[in-house]
Amino acid sequence: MSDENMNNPYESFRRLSEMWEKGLNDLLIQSIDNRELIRMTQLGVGVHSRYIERLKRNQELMANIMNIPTKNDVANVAKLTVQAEEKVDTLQQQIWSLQDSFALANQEQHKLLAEIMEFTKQLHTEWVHSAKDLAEAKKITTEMKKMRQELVEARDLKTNLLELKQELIHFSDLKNEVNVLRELLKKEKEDTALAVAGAKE
Amino acid sequence: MAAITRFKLPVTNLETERERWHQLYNVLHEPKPEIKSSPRQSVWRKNKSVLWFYPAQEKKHDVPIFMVYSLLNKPYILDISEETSVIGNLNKQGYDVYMFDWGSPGLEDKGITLDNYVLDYLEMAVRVALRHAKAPEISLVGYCIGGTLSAMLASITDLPIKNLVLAAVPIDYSDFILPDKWVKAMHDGTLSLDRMIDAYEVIPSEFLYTTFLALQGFNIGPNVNLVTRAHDRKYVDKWRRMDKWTRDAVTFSGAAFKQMLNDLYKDNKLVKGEMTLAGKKVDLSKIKCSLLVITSTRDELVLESQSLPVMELVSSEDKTYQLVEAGHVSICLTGQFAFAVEPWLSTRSKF
Repeated sequence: MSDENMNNPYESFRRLSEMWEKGLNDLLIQSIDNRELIRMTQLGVGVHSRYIERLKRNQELMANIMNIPTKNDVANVAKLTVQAEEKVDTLQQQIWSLQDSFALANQEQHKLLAEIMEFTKQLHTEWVHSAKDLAEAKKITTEMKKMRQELVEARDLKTNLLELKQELIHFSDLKNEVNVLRELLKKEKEDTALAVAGAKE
Repeated sequence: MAAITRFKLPVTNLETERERWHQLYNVLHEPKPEIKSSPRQSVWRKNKSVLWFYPAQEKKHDVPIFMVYSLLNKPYILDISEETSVIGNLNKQGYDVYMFDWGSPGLEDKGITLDNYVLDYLEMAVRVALRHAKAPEISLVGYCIGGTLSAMLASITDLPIKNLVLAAVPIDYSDFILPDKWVKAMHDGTLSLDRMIDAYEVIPSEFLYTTFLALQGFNIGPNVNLVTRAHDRKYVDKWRRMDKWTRDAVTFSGAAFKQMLNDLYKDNKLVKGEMTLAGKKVDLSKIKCSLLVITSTRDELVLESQSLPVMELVSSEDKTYQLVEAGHVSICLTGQFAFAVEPWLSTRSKF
């Protein structure tokens, strides 16, 4: 304890009273902790209760005779207000429940709409893709037709080429024949020359 | 000689004394202080109960906090002054806070049971808070009996409770602050308040206030503390707020009070797993969310042994136990509650 506290009469008084309070409380608890006092208390509670009951009964009786409302009458009216409040609460809860259902339905609708939107978007994308594919397919068909045309033309060309080849073969044969004839002519010329030379000699 | 030099006469400072007695005079003669709440708006009302919303100053955490205070006192202890406000400090730390004020029942509410409180009031309020916050999950913070009701709700509801904080919570009633023979008398039915509860129908606030005073025995400490520190204006202000709150007791529905005494105090049904609310069995093992249990070292109203069993009863894998250097009320009064809860919650408040 500091000197200041030691020297403060109020602090000493407080400490002393604290000690006294504790001591007295312990004594009080010890002294009231007995069955006789409990029995006495129970008896006192009974008597007091009977007194209150009688008082209330008489109060009601007097009020009835004097034709004035009692606290019970006021309480009964007040109870009606409480009941009305309870009904409002029940209604409020039902409104909340409805609000929640609407909110949930709304949420689900939003979800569904979002899904539909997503699906439509996908459809659109697919549509665009299909359109592209179709255009490409058309392009390919045209190209195919063109190619077929070209193929037909190529076939004609091939026929022509074959004909040309045939002619070339024919021409080659002709050339061979010409060469043979040329060889024969040359040989005849040589023979003729030899015959002429032989004759001169 | 040495003994003579150590002895000093009590010395008092004139200025301090003037201030002390001036403050004490004010406490006795001035009206009770006005408690201004943190910025808030009411989100939902039912009967006398109100669900308050305290927005975060700068929101830093996704999961909002839902505070459930005791049925036995008014909840403004959680927001008692700007500096020490539990709710205000949580707002400053970036939490949106909802606080459920049970209100003070009138005669028309004599039939309200714990079943109604948990299922018709608390569950509905949490539902409203979740809707208002547009949050998929919430942290439930229960204090004292509010903690017991929060634990009951967490075990039977299908609401998305991410974190459960139970502070100074009575769960096990095999032992409580009464002397042993009184506890035994309550358990075996020798002492029963049923007839008195039926007679009163609604337990008057004076009865509850007197019961609290009686439970504390000779409780001269607060008054002595006031005299000792009356020269400290801040302390006096805090003391006056506390004093106002202590005297500002609430009434209690007779049916709920009877159910609490019989099902919890007498039969200890919550721990035994025999408690039912509107036909639903309250099985604490169904609590699977993250759990923080806080007890105070100087708590004289709820014993540590009453809170601890919940740690074993729940099925939560993520569970923490924390002992705080405070009293049952001072943990809220000083705002310590916010600083005890925040570090644990901050790591568990993301969606």
